[in-house]
Amino acid sequence: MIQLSPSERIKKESSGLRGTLAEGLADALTGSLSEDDQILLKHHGMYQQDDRDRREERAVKKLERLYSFMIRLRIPGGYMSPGQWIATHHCAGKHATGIIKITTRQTIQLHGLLKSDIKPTIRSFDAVKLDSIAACGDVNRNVVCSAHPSVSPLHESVFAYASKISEMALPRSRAYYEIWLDQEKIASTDETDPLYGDTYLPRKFKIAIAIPPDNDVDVLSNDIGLIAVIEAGELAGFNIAVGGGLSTTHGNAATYARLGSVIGFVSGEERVLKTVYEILTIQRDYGNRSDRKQARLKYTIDKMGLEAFRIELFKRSGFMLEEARPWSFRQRADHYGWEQNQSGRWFYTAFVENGRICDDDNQQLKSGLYAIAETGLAAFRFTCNQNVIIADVKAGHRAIIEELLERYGIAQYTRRISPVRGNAMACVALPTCPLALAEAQRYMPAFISRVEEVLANHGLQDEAIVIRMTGCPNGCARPYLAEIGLIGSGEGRYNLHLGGDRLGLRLNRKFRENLDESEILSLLDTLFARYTRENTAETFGDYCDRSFNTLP
Amino acid sequence: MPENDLWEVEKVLIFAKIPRSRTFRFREITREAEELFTKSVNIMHLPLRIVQAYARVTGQRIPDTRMNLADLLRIYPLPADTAFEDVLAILEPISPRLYSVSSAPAAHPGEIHLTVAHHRFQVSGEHKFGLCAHYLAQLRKGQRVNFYVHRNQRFRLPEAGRDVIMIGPGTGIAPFRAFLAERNALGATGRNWLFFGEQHFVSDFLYQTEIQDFVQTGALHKVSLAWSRDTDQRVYVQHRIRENGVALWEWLQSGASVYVCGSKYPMSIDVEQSLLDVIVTHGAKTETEAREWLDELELTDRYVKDVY
Repeated sequence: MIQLSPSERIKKESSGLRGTLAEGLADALTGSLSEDDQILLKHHGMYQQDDRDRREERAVKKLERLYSFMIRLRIPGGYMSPGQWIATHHCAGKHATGIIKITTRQTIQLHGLLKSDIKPTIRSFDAVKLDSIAACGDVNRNVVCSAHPSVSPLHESVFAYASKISEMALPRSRAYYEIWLDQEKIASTDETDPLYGDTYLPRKFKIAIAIPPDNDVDVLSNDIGLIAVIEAGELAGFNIAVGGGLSTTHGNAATYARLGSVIGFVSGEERVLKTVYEILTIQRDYGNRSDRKQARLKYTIDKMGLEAFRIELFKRSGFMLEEARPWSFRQRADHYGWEQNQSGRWFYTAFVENGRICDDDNQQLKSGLYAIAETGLAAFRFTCNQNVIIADVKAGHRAIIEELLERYGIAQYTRRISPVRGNAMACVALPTCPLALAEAQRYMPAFISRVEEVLANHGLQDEAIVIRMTGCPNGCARPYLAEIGLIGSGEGRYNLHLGGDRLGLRLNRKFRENLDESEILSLLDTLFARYTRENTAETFGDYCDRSFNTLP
Repeated sequence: MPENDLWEVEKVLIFAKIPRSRTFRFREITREAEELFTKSVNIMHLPLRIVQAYARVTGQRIPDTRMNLADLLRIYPLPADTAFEDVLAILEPISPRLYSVSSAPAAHPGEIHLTVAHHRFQVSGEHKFGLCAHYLAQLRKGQRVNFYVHRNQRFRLPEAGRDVIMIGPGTGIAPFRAFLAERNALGATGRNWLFFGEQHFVSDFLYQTEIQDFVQTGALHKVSLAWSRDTDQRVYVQHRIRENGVALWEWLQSGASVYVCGSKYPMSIDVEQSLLDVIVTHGAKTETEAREWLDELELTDRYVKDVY
């Protein structure tokens, strides 16, 4: 008998994700929760972390680690009303670090909550109909959807699928309401979960919906990617891609990044939802539950074979997928500035460096967004590139919003940033992420400034090269889909990956290991020089991919 | 025994125009000026009576205020016809500071641990530290310290089988950390209950990891914590005492000893009142009876205070 991973026992014995969370919350001796409860906590949208910068100092003081919690919301399609934004703003100031972080999966998270802050935080979110259920953990995570409405008259109807899929794949347990919101245990409620059972999924699960020609969601990096097919102005259905996933583990050759494989086309809401549901059940039943590093759908599929997977899906859904329809992407980057949708509403995309919403030397973004929310004249949509869209502005109100964007320096900053900075992403990493081996978001702004100088030396300052950095190989900022990917390998050191394309359709390859900043910059300098000399029409990523084996 | 800050001593020597090696006699001590002002004479935050005496000796008008000797010498310089010996005669020695020892012979043999608050406070707009706390904080490894042990015969652990209730907010935790370590090392069978409080859970939980270990290993049976600045309500140990009235009365009934350590005002007063409240409420006594009951406890060394 194969040994199950410890997480499997914890989930199974948790009586519906409850574990001893309530008792742990009441333990005044520590700011931490038990190890088992920390696993369960993820399914409630939170991670326990600690300030790694302060471990030593606190140990000397006989203080435990500075434990805090990160809470991530479930916001299908990344949409928030102005009232929800105001609540989030206040919550961040009162209970967390004050910084609101837009994630790479179109939601927001707050850091630095103490254990005693969790319940008040969840209560204030609940008051505006926001929750963090299943935002982390071995379940379907936040469902993301292309954010830019101008590209399709059908954005609203496609966007609605994000919510429908999210609802369909929510755990049935009422533990969240009991533990965090003090709601009564309803004895009569049947919590039997037909989708998740009592062991949920073997691993996290990600679903994205892309609306071509935009691939802002990096659709092929998801366990399930739905690519909207629009024919004659109507939503014909979706091409279905399965088995995408980026995370790898240093030194574990059995782990790899994989792009989703398009297995066909499906139309009609019922069939679309059924397809997604049965892919989830296949992963539930066939996914590896003994080795968490082999547990994502990508490994399940590669072990079964794509054809066997397709057949299994047919057995479960009762219908065949049609042949995939033609599809293509033209853009992955966000459309900064103003754009208008088909019904005349205006949308402004503002640049948010690494998704961190705060007031700093560059712009008073947090104050500005708050002021905009207070007008009640705009909603908010987050993008998978970690930016924010001021959404749904009526033509008559655009001037008001524009004035605020200028007053708080937001419009000026978004206009001023270089293409390379506008395309860059970094994950959270140090000091809070327990997985981080190297810096990412704290270091990225300065690193990009140095890259800007090197680019300028070669006259490449207008190139929108996609650079992404993560503190570890788990890939939160999707560095494997960047033209230049930097993946933390140790303190101040990164593996350099090259050769991804600009649209997110080709993985890059590891070019060098364990480089420090000066090695990276001097190598980029050499590569930019060659790229310029070749005078090719290709993007930098395409150039690197084509000439990968002859690069210096 | 604290020593004065060297820069402060330097200023005294400069403003009094005394060569550092000149020898003085102060009380029973004869020493060179620098050493004398470092180790023997209090030159910090002089009390009013000394400032006034200085005014008399030097024939100057000085407002009623406390100040350091160096400032006094700088602002109201020594007249040419006044001998420095006359000033020295009115000064007082550095007084020893008493701290509860927070280590236990059985757990920390050959060591003495202290729990010292290094508070920064403001005196007329200037940041100051307590003399001894700052002196201790500045010590480097290997430096020698003058000290003596002042024995407290009453503040002692009861026999091993007896329950102990320890109430020690702030640095008042010092003797209880020693108690717990001692009882843990000796395997005492009585139960232990610690009340501790400070401002913030995150930064001020003294000996947190040790306390967690004691709880984990069963050496500490109950911990009640009060953080006064973490919520909108100011919560102190006396609130925890009242909240835990039922259990506390049960412990007292079964012979537990109560120890209180920390600041006299207002902590020990508030704590005593809360103990009386518990005795009234849960012991079904009048206020007078409760007072008598507590007095009896004190007389039999089952209610012991070390407050300052």
